[in-house]
Amino acid sequence: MTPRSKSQGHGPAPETLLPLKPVESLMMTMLAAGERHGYGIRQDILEHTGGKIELEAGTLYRHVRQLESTGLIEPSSQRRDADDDERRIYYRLTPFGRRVLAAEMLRLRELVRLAESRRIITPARV
Amino acid sequence: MLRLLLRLYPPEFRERYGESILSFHREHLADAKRNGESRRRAWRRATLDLLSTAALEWMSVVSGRLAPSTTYAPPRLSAEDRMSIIVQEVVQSVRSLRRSVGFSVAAVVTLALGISSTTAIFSVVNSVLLAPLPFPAADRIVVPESMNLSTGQTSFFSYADFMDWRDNGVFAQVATFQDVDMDLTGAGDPVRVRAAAVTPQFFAALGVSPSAGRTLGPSDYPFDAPRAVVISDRLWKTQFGARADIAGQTAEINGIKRPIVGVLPPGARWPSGTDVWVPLRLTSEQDPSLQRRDNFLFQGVARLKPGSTIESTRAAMAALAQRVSVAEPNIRKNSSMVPTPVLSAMLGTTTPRALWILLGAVGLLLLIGCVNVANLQLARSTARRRELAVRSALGASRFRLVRQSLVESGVVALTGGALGAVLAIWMVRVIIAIAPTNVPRIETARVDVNVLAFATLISIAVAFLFGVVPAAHSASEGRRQSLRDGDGRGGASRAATQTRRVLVTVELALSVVLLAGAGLALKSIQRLSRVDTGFDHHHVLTASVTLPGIRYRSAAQIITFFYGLRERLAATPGIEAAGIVSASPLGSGGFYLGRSMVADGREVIPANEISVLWQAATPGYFAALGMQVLRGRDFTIRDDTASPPVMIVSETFAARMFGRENPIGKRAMSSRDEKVEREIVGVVRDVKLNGAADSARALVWVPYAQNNAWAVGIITVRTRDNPAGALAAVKRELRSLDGAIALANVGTMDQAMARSMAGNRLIAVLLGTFAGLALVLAAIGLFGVLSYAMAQRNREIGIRLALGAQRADVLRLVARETVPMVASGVIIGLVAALGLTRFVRSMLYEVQPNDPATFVAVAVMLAVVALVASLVPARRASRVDPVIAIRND
Repeated sequence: MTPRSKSQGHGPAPETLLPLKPVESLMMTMLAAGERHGYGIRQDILEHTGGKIELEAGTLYRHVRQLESTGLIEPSSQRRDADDDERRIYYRLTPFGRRVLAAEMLRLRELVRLAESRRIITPARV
Repeated sequence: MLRLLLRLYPPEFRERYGESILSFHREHLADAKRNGESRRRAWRRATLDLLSTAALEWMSVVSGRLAPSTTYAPPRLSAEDRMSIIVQEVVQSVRSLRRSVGFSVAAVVTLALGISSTTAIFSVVNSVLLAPLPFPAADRIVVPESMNLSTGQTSFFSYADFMDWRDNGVFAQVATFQDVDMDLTGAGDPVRVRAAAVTPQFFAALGVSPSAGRTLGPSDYPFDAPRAVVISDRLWKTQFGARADIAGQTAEINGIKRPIVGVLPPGARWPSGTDVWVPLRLTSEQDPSLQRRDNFLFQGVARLKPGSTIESTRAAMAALAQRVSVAEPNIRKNSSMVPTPVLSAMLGTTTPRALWILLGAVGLLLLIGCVNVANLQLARSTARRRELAVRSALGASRFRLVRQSLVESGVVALTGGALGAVLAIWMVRVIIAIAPTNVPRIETARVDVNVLAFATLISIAVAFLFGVVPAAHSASEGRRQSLRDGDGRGGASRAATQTRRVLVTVELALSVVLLAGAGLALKSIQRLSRVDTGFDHHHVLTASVTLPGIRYRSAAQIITFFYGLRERLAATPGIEAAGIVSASPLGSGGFYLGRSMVADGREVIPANEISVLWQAATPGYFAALGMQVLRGRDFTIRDDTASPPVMIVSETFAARMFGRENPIGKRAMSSRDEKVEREIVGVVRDVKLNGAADSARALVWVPYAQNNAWAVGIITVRTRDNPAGALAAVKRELRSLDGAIALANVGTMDQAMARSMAGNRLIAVLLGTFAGLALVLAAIGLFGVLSYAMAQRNREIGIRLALGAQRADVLRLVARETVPMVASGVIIGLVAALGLTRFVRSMLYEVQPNDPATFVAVAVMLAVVALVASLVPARRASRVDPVIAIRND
């Protein structure tokens, strides 16, 4: 079964999908580090948010469905260890998804800079 | 377990992610175990998550956001574009609805009926059950009561109990009070008002502050202080012209001028209906009668202590009550004290149950309406298949088709809802007019913003309910169906026809449930009106008077007044009999005194005591009320203080006290208070004091002249003609004796009787109406489906007839279509009714909730109606002209 992943090079401009939902950009950021299955995404997010964001299965897969249908992520056919649960599906970021995520992050960076210039937060020292 | 829950998801989603979700959950549980987290928490979270996301997924599917039928991404539209599309769709819907006027009118009217009934009942529920009382933090106010632990019945308490609570700090504030009737005199005719004599913390417990002046304070309680009164907003407006300088004015009450110190804000009336509050003045709390634990004459109101709950308060009250039961086991066996939330204390148990039942019933009616409209819609969408096919072919997405269909449903539902809201305003008025007067706050029922919000919500819900099935259908049809059905008249898909059959079956089943409920209610009202109450309520007028203690100080004065008034009334032309009693049946005035009696010669111990209701009566009372003196005699004017003490008792009293022995000439005494041996001089037939549903009790009447001068009397006269006509005579005779006494509770016994059955009657009338509507709707639904099915098989029937089939064969064809629907509808309905009618048990009188006769009658009735509904389609089918039918295609 090949899922319908829309347009990987010639799709709509990434900006048309912005802004992303916070959870979705979080999920995509996790996938940017490599392929993961659903529960892996959850664990990753749990770890990176200090246990604050705890996704449940239904919610997670609704977002997976959404991201898949807009072609931002796709299932990967590889990476099945012998002892791995065979029903597990690993997901990865599509190139288009990576561009959209990047566009989203640029948008956020602009927002952060604005907040800094308005003295809402102090500029980060990098 | 989780696998089962997965079935809640739309199939597409489940297929794609179901297994992943399962393995996700398995891993999560394993992790939870490893980390020592609670597995229950994991389960709970997973289940909640699943339920909510399933609902969300379905919404996405229905609103067609998936739109998988299109292969290109639709252009993203600006907000204005989207708005204009929606407007365009609404306009389109209205146009399309106007094209099929029949459908639209039927749908709108059906929904309006359902929505208006539901809204009307909801507005009653809203104002009677749900609206908060007009006191601050009203949920912290409770009514302390004594409770009989074996029956669960609650009643008043003794002053000593009140002192227990107050002195032990059970509540933040606690007050006790007594209801009294007072006559407001001074200007014009005297007016009877309800008053409450209250202890100091009364207003603090309720949390009311006066809208003018002050409430009662400690300075108002000493006996030498002026008799201060606080009045209600109503009284201030009706009797004192709403004057601004009311505080400091005086009111003449029971012939005494009293300073008005304050006015309470509108609505803040407790106990309900009270117009005057006065201090409860006591000689001393050490008074032996106040120390007694068996004079349950006091009512109360209290506010919970900060930090304590109803439960903790209940425990504290029970502990105190327990101490009393140990100290005085004879008096307090099997009883305790409980705090009842003020709203439940006011509503009782019957009213809420009746209202919820009615709301359930209208809910069913609304559901039937929805099913009916869904059915109509389905028939229409089948007929419109060609239009849909064309639109689909021209590029309308599945989403657009579904949305169009839903917008149409929305337009129909909101129109129905708007009409329904208007109808509801009128229905609420009717309900208020026919509702029993003892339903608290019913007069405040109205269609307000909350109710309108409710109506809007149910209209939207309704639009979904009846819109989704046809919408899903039209979508799949629109997609699947090509234009090849050249003439657009081809048969509906099997699925559509099947769906319609199921819908009609559901409708029939729902009507059976409603019919069964209505049948049971009607049967009990019929039983009730046939019951013999032991008195004749026709041609009787009653009115009560209270003689003000200030002018009627001695027993002799009171007796002279009552006996004199009775003599004058009895001698009035048109009045056949007249009497005065201290408590009149059917709540038409006065009160019964509960006493315990022991027969002469028996030891005074609880085992020998029987509880009686004690009343005082003048001669002529039994004749006036049409009660039958079975043995012995009525009182005479010679039964006075100088003669031996006598009493007249009811059959039940005689049977309980003396078994089968002749009670006449036997003696008994009130064992705890009066302690006077009284001779029984008469036995009257049992009466049902509270109406037909009541049971017979042990009753005692003693002559007014021998009863320590009670100042309350209910004038009872039997007339030859219309009893209301005797009112003038009663007023005239009263005025000739004393011009400053008000008549209260004026009414005929017929009215009192109707009032005692008003609750049952209201339920029967409303349930009957709803069931009738349901039946009509179900019949229309059946008729529609059959007509349509037969029209579709026109050609087949034509061919059969041409090939030699008889008319009877055609009728059999119709029967084969009808019988399964009706039979399964009736069976499902009866089973559901068996399950549901237990909820009306407490509303029934001498009818079991599974009364076989009612159920059979309902089944027969539905079958007959179904037969009638199928007659026309059947006749039409059997008259098909083969030639025309075949050629036509």
